[in-house]
Amino acid sequence: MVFSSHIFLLYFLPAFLLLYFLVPAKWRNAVLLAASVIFYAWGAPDFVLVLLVSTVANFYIVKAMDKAQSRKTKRMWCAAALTVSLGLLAWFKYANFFVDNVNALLTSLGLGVMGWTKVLLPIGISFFTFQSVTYVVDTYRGVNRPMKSLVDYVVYIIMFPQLIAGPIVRYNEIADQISARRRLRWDECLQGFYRFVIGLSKKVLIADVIGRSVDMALGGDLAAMDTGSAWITIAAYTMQLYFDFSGYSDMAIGLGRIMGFKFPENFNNPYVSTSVTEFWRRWHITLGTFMRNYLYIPLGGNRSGLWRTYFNLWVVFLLSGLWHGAGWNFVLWGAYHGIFLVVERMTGLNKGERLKWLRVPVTFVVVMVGWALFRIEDLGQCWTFITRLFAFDFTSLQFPILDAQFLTTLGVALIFAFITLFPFGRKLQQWTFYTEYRPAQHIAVWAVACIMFFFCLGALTATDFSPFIYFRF
Amino acid sequence: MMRNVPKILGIMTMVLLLLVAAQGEWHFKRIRPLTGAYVMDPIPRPTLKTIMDGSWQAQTERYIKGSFGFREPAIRLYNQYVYSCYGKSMNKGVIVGRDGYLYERYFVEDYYESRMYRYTENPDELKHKFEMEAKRLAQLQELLRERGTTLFVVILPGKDMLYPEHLPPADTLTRTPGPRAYTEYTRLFNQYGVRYVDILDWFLTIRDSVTYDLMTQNGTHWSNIAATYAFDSIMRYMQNIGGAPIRPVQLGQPYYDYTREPDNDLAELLNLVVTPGQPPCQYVNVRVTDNTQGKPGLIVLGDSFFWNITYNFPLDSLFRYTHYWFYNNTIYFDPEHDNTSQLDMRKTLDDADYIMLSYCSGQLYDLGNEFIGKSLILLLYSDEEIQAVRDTICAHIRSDENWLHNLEEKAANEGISLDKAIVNDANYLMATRPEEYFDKLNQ
Repeated sequence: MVFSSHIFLLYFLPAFLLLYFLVPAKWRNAVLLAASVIFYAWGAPDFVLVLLVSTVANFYIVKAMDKAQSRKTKRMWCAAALTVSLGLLAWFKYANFFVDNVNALLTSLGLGVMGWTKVLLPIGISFFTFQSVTYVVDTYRGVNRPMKSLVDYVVYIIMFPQLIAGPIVRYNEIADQISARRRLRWDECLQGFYRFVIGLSKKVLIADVIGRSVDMALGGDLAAMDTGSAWITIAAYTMQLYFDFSGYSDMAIGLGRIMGFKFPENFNNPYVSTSVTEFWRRWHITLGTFMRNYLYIPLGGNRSGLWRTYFNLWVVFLLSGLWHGAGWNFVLWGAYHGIFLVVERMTGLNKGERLKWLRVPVTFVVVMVGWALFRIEDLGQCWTFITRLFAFDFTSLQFPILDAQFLTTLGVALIFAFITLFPFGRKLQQWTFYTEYRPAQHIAVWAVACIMFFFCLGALTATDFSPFIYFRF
Repeated sequence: MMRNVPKILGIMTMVLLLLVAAQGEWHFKRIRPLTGAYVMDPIPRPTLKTIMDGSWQAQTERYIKGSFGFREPAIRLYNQYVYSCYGKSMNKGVIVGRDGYLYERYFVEDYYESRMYRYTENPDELKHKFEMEAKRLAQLQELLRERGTTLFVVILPGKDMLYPEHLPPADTLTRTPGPRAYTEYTRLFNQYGVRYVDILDWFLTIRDSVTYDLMTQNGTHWSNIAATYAFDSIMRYMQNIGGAPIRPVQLGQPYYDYTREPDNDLAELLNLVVTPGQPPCQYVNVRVTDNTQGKPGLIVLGDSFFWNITYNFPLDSLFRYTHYWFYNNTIYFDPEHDNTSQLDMRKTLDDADYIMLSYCSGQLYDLGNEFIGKSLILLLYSDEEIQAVRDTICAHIRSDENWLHNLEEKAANEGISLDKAIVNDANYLMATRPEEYFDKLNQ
């Protein structure tokens, strides 16, 4: 089930909230657990059992780890738990990729190929795997005690607001909220609702609209694309990705807030960054935090000399690319960002705000070119597209780039993406997300949120509703 | 009170969400329906298999999307935003042209790249089909004439060809235009002596001199007044070529009136909150002036343009019956039959005085909708002979393993027996490629 589906918005969510608010507080986690299982099973009934079994197994392994007396035994249990989590991720996400590449190698050597049945990827596995890793490692490190209740643990792993696409909530950030949430506050619920509607609007009214034109543009003959169209297309994809992903995160954070959780922020105006390093502090923040705490630091971080630091940085981004998708384009995308991070650290460009008005657009261009690697999976096509970006062939902009709705929406997206460069934008953001509204403000914002919700519903429905004058035969 | 505002708003949010679900279930509030024809998804029934393969979930989501409460105003609101802000139609079948003119998509396709690509990639193949169809039509006309029935074709205007100056730019043009049915058929009809009336050609000659719209800005059909004048002429033509007298009619003076169906049909199809108004339209009343003469029987086979005639002409006073075979499928105004498959076709053809094949230029690709081939076979062969041919084709299908395998799948999908599927294919071949199976059609 996805947040921007009718069944979620009109049936699942109201029914869940009604039940969630009506039951006594001690039953809320059970209601949330049941709802999360239904939510996941709706889209992936085959995998819900895998998810539950692996989660329960991890719970008991970590319990055993906690009880273990010797450090060696603890380490063994920790390794077992990580093997369960990462093993599932490796199998479901990377087995096809591995076999495809082995077969390609065998073919190039003139040998036969391995027989293989494609493995289907369970939705959300990249996210819930990382959450379970944080639980195992944080408990192993002694940051937190393991959970006492199995229900609470399963809720932490498969809680539906962040199950599919994050934010990746570290165990130590949310452990207390799961076991002992404070009682519901209506103003928090309303703020959560507003945040959810903002996310829904970002997804439906901006990302989806832009995405339709991007798909058409990239579905055409890339070699024939003029440079202007290529830049508009990649700028549009840059905005589509941001508004889609951050919209999803807003919806997740909003839903969490309605239920009494406080999830970490996942985006902080990434496109106003003055360096790629800063970009990664603002983009998919929870992934960056995870990578730093559970990969970069265990690799040695910056404590083992300059060159080792550069190597660690680059490896982290290479693996981060692979985490985003099992394909060489994602590996290249990670490596591309890793190179910029290393270069910035070498030159000191990762610090300070000097020449901000020059560095912001340069960083934006670097990130945009990177998104081409991210979006176009066929490396040959990707290279063709990148060459068109720098071909300086300004012949004529063509449909679908010239569609008025697309251009207007792209303009709005760009304004919102860069608005916090200005004091007014920062004030607006502060007021929207971090202000406790007075009653009159609540009434006004609530009315706007309701209208936007209904409007999004219309957009979701109208997009593929095209009746005929009469039926033809 | 102010302290409780968040609580009140929170409860109101829940109530509103539940209200939407309740409206979807019980429809307690009457809502202006959406315009146009579309298929409603049925309520899906879950089974373990459909749940596990996800098809039940997908069907349920489609069902909810098509039936949730207050769906109509939600769609209208978004459509209005897109139309008002960007001049675009959310209905993929309707295109907003220059100066606010609305066009049905397939007319735009027909104008810019020819609809032939819906049928074949090969222009020669389509030209051959047109030629065969025109030859068969001439043969059928002659056979029916000998039996006392007058068959003729009426070519009606497509908006793309009558008002091309308002078409949107050819942004999506990706192919070389192929042969156009209108151009090919008018040439072939003249070559083979097919009797036809070209209303499109007539309208093109008068479009700049008449004081009324031949086709309205917001409609896809000919205007009511143009249809009325045109059918008056068509009736005279029928009498000239047929002989069965038709009662005389008198047309009144044109007058302006509120917009009637279907002069604003494309605007209605946009499904907006505020439907764009059609500039004032003229109408004209029709009166039968002599009720003493007999009434011939008329069959009209074709597209939706004939609806305008049914709205404006007192057909009951002019014809013994007017059976409207919509795309040679559904039958309107026939109390005994709903579908052409129910008819005793030989008897029906003999009973009729006039048969009018009425298609607009954009629909000519499907001229007759298989009526021509099927009728010719019925008139030239006995039932036994036709059955013998059918049996031969069925035997051929059974001997072809690939064909049979495909039909097994098709039969399973459609829930019919394999035998029925084989016969259906044989019938289809007989109707669409009759010249391959019936020698007399080639004479």
